[in-house]
Amino acid sequence: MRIENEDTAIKTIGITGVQKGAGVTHLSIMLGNYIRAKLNKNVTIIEMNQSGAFKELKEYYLAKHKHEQEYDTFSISEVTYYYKVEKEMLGMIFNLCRDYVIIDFGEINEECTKEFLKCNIKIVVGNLNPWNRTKLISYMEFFISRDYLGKIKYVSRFITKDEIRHIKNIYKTNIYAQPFEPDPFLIHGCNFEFLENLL
Amino acid sequence: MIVKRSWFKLNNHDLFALNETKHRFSLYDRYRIERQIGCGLSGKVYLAEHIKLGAKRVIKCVSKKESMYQQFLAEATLLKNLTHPGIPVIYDLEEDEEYLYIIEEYIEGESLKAIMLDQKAISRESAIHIIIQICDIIEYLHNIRPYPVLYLDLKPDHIIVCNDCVKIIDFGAAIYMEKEEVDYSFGTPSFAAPEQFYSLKLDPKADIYAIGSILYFMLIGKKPSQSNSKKSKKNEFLSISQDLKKIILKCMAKNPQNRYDNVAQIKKDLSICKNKKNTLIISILGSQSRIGVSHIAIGMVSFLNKNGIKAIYEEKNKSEIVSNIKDINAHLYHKDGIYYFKNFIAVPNYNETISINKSDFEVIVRDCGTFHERSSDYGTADIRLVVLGTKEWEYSFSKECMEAMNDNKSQYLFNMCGKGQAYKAAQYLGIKRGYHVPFFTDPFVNNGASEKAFKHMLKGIIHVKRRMLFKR
Repeated sequence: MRIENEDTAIKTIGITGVQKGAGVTHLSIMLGNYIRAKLNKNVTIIEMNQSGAFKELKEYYLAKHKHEQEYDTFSISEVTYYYKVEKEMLGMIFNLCRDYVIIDFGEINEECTKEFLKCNIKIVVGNLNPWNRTKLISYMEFFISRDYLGKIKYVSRFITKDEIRHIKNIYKTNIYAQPFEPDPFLIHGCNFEFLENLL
Repeated sequence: MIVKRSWFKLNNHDLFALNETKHRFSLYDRYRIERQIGCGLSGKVYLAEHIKLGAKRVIKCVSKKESMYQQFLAEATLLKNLTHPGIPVIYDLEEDEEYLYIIEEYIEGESLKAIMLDQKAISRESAIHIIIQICDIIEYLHNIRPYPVLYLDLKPDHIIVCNDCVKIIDFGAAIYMEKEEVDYSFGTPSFAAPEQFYSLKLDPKADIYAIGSILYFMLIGKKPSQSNSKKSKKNEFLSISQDLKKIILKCMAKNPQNRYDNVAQIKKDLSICKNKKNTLIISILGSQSRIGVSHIAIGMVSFLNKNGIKAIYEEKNKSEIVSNIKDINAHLYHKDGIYYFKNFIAVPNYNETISINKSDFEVIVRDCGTFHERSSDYGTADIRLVVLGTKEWEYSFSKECMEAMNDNKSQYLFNMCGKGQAYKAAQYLGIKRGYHVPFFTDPFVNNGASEKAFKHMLKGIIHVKRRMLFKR
């Protein structure tokens, strides 16, 4: 299904990572909280991967705050989360959403790539340290070869200004340095610029 | 299939390639080698998995022919006696004819060096949180019995941050304190104490110096300058608050005798920094809506900033004033979540997921809306102001507010009126002391009369602030 809905102007943000543990869920939650708190827009985050992270988050959060919810959805700080979402459920969820929908695709794979590429904003998370850079670079080249130059934003932790310039020179694409923010539920103002750039 | 082979002679590329073909390398049938994760003077470091437990381990191996082999062995021997959550656990020590293997706890996190890469600095709170944990570890080392230890190689590469916890790795340079003299001079420039480069006699003051250098690094975002020039030091310290600057300077005194005597003293000063309030908080609320609380709060902040006292407006109500201003006023710009316009600086009413650093501000003026919507934010302020109306039809709201508040710490303020009107209202309401603010059209600019009123009102308040600054 097409994710983009021109009539209601819901903005979809797809986030995927080049490997497990790249920080996709962390970034999804950070972005969701930023959109809600700073931009004052409604936001829904959908887990479309098998990591089970959202279920654990729900159990932790609801156990901590003694709420009771039954369904595969819950809210934290006015951000709505859906977990264990299959492709067929997207239509139903979209009908309930307004403003922004963030889809956490987890580790990139062939199945999710198609849905990922339909999103208004596409973000790929990777790492440019020496033992991980090959994966990120190879995906960058893959997307560029499929005519997605300039249409995907890349995010890496622990990247220097020189590396950012180097990537821009060679691949003509922007890569953003993800700042250190240990808690995605507590975003510091000094990191707003990074999130603004992604949107 | 598990293969016993000299896997440490293979590079990662070959290791991965062979792992793809389902070959596996093991150490003594207990650990499966995954990949090389480091390479240092003493040898190579590998990530491995305990085959039975399924737990990750780090295996350091060094050739017995290496000149640093004895030091490596000394490091392992030293580490095995240390028990602290901030120090990696040594699980096992193995050796064969050629190599020594230390099997250590795998710490999943990032080094402080990696975290600070291209980051201007980390927040004051995070820096204090990290450095206190480092102090805990160093204090433990300095006080462990019967053989206290000097670490001597504290630097960002050796500090690992795992979620909220800090660990120190690489004890290759550590010595027992009783040794008193090292075999050779060494240290990491910018982080090591100067005496590490010219003296063989070292004591805990060397580690204390390094603690200061790490704190500096976190707050400034770059290594401490090795320049002795006073001007360059002064420039570097401009962005650090006074209390932390004092700690850094005392840790990094060139003469060891001028440094802290021990790490416990640093921790004590750091905990004061952590809890210390440098900022005066003024909360304002009103007896009814449209009484002018926001107008006064904005005017007050503009006045303070204009007169050299760094102040910020904090929206603590649901009016969305800052959002409304930003939608209309093209000159209002924002940076790091804070909005600026002329002398007005403001933070909107973000929810609990946003943290804005306001520690640089001397005064925070909280707009708490009406007394109906007041929250704990009002009660925790240093100075509490209640805005009351002076018109007869506003008296009932004022009375209701005063009864509901029932608070002898709040001060009363009459808005948009002359002295006579304020006096009359105060008499009616039974208020013995209050302030009045005359009408002024533009709160972002103020007029002569409002400036005079704020000056009078805030004279006492600023005196309170000055007293707070010196409180310990």
